[in-house]
Amino acid sequence: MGQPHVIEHKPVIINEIKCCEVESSFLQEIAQPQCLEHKPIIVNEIKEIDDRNSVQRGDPVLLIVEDDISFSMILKGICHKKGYKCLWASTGAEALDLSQKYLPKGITLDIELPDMSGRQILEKLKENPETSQIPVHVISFDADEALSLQKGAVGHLTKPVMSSDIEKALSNVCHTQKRSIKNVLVVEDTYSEQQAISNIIKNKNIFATIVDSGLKAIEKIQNEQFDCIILDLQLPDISGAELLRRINTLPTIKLPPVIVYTGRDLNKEEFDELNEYTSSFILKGINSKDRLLDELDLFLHKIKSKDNSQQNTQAPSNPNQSIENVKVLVVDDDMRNTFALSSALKKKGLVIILADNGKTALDKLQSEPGIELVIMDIMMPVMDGYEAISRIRMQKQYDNIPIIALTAKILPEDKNKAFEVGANDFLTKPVDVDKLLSLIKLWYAHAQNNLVRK
Amino acid sequence: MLSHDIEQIEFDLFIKAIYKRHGYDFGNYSKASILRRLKLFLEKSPYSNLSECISPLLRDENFFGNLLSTCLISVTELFRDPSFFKTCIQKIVPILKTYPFIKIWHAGCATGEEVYSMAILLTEMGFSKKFLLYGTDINHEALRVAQEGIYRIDELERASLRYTEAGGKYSLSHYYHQKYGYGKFLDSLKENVVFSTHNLDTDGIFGDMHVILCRNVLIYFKRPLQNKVISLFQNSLVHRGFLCLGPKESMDFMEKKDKFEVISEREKIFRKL
Repeated sequence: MGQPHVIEHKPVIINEIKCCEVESSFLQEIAQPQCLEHKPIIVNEIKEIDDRNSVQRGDPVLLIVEDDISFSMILKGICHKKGYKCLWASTGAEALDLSQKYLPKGITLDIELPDMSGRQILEKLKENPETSQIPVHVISFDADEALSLQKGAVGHLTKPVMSSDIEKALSNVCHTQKRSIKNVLVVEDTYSEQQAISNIIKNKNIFATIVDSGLKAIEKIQNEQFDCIILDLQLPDISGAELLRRINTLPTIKLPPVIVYTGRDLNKEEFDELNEYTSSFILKGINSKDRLLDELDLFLHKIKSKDNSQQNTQAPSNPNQSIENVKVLVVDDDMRNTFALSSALKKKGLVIILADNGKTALDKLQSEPGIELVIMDIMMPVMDGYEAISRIRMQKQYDNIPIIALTAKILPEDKNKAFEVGANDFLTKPVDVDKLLSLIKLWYAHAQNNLVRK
Repeated sequence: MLSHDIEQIEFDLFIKAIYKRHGYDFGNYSKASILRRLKLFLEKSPYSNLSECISPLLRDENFFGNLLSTCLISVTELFRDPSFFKTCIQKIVPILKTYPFIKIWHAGCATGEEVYSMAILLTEMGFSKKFLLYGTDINHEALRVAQEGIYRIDELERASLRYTEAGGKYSLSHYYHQKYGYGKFLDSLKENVVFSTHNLDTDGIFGDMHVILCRNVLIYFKRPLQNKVISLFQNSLVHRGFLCLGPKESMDFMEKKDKFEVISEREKIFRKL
């Protein structure tokens, strides 16, 4: 656990608490999936979310038992990548029912569910000879609880936010406010985390009011005085930043200090936005979140290596190496250049769409469906390559589209900047077509394999 | 004619077909071990003998990659030859520091250990994300392992000593999460790494590299292909870029020998003139 370091940021104090010293970078920020859509999910839709309708006999199936929907979706993504189909249960009863019906290859179990304790679920699984041998991976907010369960399960891990983090943040709030905290509003929609946070706070003789949505939080704060807000950024109705903005516009309400915690790194805009309102204390669970996901990966790896029957049923991982008919957008204002380049690429079977500046490029992406890769010159009139690339990356559907920047020899710092705004790679002008083709092949295959963790 | 003799003819034809079509020369391997592995491959495949394999070998782009997965046991490990990495830090890194951004190509990276080793060292040398490492191989299965970045924990533990010998500053465990007997390298380490297929014989120039590592690959090639590959490397390197070969490999009899100067004879590090 690193020491919190204070960054001067008038008039705001930000304490970042990091779980590990590994620095994240602009690339990660760019690669980070944007916040999940903040719309309430209706339970009927959820059954569509897992793969129960497409599971066939002999399919490798994994059961995810977790009451946090957005987190379940992340877990599901990892399992899919490893070639598993997923079932999803948000209650213990449903988990037991599904594990009987489908006999999954493995189970990931959140031990704090609304209807049953993790211990009960594990005992029931063990009692039944059919399910007693299924490896179980325990995911828990409370390390001690998980440890005590470890006997029956394969292993355990702790959820992103550590109690010590929250304690530290609370004492920081006390310290900067120069008064003690008596009354805290907790805005958190996941049951297990509500429980965990309220346990931590109770130990400190602080009174906690828990609400599970942004709108309810606004309602509460109008009728009651709070010394501090503990805020999960991923709420079902409005975003954390939006919540702060709305509270801030309320007449006569002064926004108290906010402890924000987030399962991922914030990008600069989000960071600035949160800091507009109040002295926020940002808890970054990013590295522990990563650990959580990595450990799931390792669990899957283990059950896969034990289970040889699956080795052969796996689809071959050979990427399609052909770049025939791949649609490429070439953006360059120098017509002679563009013509030579595009005819060379056409000869190799690529389909070329042209644009002569960044703005036209953005329009073409809209009007020409199915563009799979972008080659972007940097120096252009109207809108240069940097701006165009960062605008492309702002749109969620282009998270994974490969972008190769063309930089000028005389400006070596261009290369870094191209990366910072979200290019995957670059070549120096004048462009050697063979070199460009190798890169197109490489990044196209990379995107096909969708190797970026979503 | 005995079936054994027929198999011998088949084997010779098959090895020839591989060489003519893909440039890989299995003539350098011990025949017995290759034959044993090919039999293993046949058992798992829908084909009943090697003759039937010749057609897909020539026509199906993916066939050879799968064959290699079975027949090539990649012998790579993290921080293999720590003295090589140490020499890199002494002789190559100071020059790389003068560039705003560097690209390094690991040709024939197999399961990716060398790529991760390099990513760790560059991170520690303060290159803070200003680099891109390309790991390429012809073997899809090996690349899949590389991409996952999951290795057995005992291998990682054994490597930690080599990491220190190579000049590592912290502890190797700093870079992976472990559980269930395996370790997985952190995503932050993978951000500047890309793995992809590339066939040294048939695929083209791979451009603007500051360093190319191709260690213990050329020994499997016959001389003409070796020359072709060295020439590909020369064209893929930036002016004054570095080429690193394996300990048993040499530049001595290469056509392009004069295009490179020797930086370290012991570690087989060369620099483009």
